[in-house]
Amino acid sequence: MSIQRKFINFHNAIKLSREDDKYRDAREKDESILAALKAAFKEAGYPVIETFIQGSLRTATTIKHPKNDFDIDRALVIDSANAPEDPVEVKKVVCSVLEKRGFKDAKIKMPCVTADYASLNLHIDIVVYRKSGDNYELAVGKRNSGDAVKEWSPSDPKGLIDNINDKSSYVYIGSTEDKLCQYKRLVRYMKRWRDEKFEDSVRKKVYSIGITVMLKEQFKPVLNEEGKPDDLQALRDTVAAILTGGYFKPQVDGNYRVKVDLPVTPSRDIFDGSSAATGTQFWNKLNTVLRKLDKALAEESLKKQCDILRELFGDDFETAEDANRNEGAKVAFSTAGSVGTSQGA
Amino acid sequence: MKNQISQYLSEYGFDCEPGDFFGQGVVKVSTTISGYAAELMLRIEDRFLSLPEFLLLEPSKYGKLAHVNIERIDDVEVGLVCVNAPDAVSVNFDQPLLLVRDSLKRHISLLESVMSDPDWNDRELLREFYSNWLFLCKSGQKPLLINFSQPILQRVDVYEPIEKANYGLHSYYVAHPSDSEISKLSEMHFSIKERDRKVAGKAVVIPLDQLIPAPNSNESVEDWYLKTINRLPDERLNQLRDQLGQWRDRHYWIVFTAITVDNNRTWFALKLDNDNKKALPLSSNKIDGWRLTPISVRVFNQENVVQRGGGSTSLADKKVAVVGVGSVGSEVGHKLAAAGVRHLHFIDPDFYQIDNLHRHMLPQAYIDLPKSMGMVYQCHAQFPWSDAHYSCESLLTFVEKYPCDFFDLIVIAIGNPSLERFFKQHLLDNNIDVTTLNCWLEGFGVGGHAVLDISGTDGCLLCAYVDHADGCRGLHSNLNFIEANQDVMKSIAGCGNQFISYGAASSAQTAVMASSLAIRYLEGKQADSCRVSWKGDDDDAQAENIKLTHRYYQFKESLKRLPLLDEDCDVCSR
Repeated sequence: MSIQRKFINFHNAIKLSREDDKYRDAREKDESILAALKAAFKEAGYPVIETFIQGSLRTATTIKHPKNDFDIDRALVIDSANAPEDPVEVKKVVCSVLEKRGFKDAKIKMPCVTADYASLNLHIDIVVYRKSGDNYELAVGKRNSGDAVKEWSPSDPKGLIDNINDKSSYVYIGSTEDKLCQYKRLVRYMKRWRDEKFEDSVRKKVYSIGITVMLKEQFKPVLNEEGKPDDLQALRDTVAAILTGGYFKPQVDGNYRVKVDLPVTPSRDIFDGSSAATGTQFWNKLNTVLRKLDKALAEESLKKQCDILRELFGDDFETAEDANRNEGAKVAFSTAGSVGTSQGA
Repeated sequence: MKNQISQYLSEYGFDCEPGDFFGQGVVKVSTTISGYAAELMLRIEDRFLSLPEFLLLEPSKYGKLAHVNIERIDDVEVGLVCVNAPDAVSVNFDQPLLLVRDSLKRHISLLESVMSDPDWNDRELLREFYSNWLFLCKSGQKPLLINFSQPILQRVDVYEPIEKANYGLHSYYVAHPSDSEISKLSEMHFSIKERDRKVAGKAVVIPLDQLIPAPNSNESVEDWYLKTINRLPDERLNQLRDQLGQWRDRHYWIVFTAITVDNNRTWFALKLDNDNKKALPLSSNKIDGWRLTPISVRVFNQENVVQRGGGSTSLADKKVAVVGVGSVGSEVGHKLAAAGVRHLHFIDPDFYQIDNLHRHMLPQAYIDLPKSMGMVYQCHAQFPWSDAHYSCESLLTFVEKYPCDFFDLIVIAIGNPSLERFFKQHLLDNNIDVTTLNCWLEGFGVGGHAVLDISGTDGCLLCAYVDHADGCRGLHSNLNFIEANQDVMKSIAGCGNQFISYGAASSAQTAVMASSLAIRYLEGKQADSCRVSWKGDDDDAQAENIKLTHRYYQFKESLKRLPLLDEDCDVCSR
């Protein structure tokens, strides 16, 4: 079995999609909360005109959390003509619905409303936009924010999704879809690495969207000449590019701050307000990743490669022995029912 | 020009003199070759587009020299020195003086070889025996076609040409044995057996153990013949006298055959004519009254025709099934037959259609005939020893009916990945050891592929179907240059009439590539499973917004045989 196949197995072990069985409870909860939110908004005089999933579930970069926590990232859109002047008003409605539906600690944060559903290990983030024409504005402000802080802030939620899914750049030429898939696998690998390697307090500040954007901007697809993906090499090259990509700003005291701008409106720094401790740890650990990946690349033994990668990614990355046990025991059939081909004679 | 050449050669130390020879300007060069004084003569031409010919004057005084053919120009005997095959030399016609000097050096060098080394001279005389024999034959005369496969003493009928036939096999005299292996559908068989040719006489085939160099002139032919007969072993001579040559006739064709050098066999013939019916003359006292005429022969046997055509007789007994006789399969079948594979079995349920004409090798005459049957006719018509057969069946029916391991190779050219993978699974499930060669092309001229799956070696067809994205068995070959799941079909007349756009050059290219691989395998030169692709241009695909794979953009190894094994293939990793 190739190391690439082991990466694929790792990816299969950590990936999570909205359609997965494991996500069923969260999905059902999301759907029932959505219905309640729609009703509450309608009653408040600003009916929901559009709703969509945001975040990693939308971009197919979600991973399973080690403790089986699940996230819901839901966006609600109301018509600008009906929207209240005060953006926090709509967030209060959200908060109220969540509290009534059994969520605890519902909080109005600057960009969203968050809450946890304890019995399901479910975390929910809800954002509200108002829409005029094709333009979205995000409801920004906390419950007690002053008027100077509260605003309907221009935003491009779908632009970000499009940016993540974009494959028009030259790096995607030839087997475009395979390269985009490789990019998304790398995002998942790095998110799992973050979950494995950072203490809880820092882990929460190494934002998924930050990892996703850096990887997108620095992605170095690697398929061999036959078109076979080489995730190990691609991850190594991409991490190396991130480290030299200008995201980490050295400070005079030897620490680092990390700065990654959103690639779409409002183009804010994703890590705005992030501490030097976070930036430094992020920098140091990324350098360790690069060293380990180089070591794995130089290693010829599959067993040793697996051992190195398990140090980075945790136990969901199989050992070489796991691979041997599974090998030949089953035929791995395509998950596609059919595929259009260009073959003729 | 002659003065210029003479002066130029003189400057290089040659003893030259310009002159005239029957009204033509010449330059004579006097030199010494291997201790012999020799005179060479160049006839001046307006321009030299081949190596200038220097004639050896008074050639007979050096004895019989290889590569020197003696001719007479009026009454003057000259030797034509065969330095090179004309097409094998590219001459500098812009610098004729250089060219003349170079040619002179080549002539002297060759003559030195034949004059200084009698053994080499003798070997070369034998090697070029047939060329020398042709000098004795009347020019313009059609050769006698001889259809013998074995160089054994025998007597066969000689058939007359069809009257007024100026071309084709029926315009020749043919010596044809009754046990010929020539296909009953071949033109040769048809021209002899189906057209009621008259028997002109008998030909006697005489194998020679010792070949005497060809005579210098027709006057010496009778002497050469008697010497040759005298040297025959007694047993053969007795057999000739008592059995094969006792037939009294006015005409006899004698076909001689012998090994020359390097185990090469030569065939040549003499025609013996007499005003009265007599037995074959085998001694000097029986030769009176016979006129001996050297005649050329054209050997029409497998060994000669197949090898002359670049084929191999070692393939004659190989059994190859060609499943799918479309644009690729038909070309593959044709190339295999041309290479010498006699036992081809064509399998295809389709009928030949007008739509097929521009990318198929069958002619219009076969329209509405099963393609497989058409290919059989075509093979038999062109390749006289073809033993091609056909079945109007699909791959699946073929699997049920025929023991696949009967074949040395099964070529699958159906362009249907589902059936191809199914067939592979059938072979695996039933432990059938047979080598397969799957070949297909892709639309828009972007390329084609061939996969040779040799049972028991690393790699199999399914290696070419490992889905690189997840390492599982894929449905679309990982060799392909066009990304999956695109609309690559074109349609002129709607559903049921869709087709992939590609030209005959693409199918021929794919077929030639696949055939080469098949032949290498059958000849024992390819012992490992492998894959080969050729890559074409992407203009047409780009014009249709067809997305191509990473492999296409990176691929630089067109026509190279690459290892087939994919370490993630579930079959090969067991």
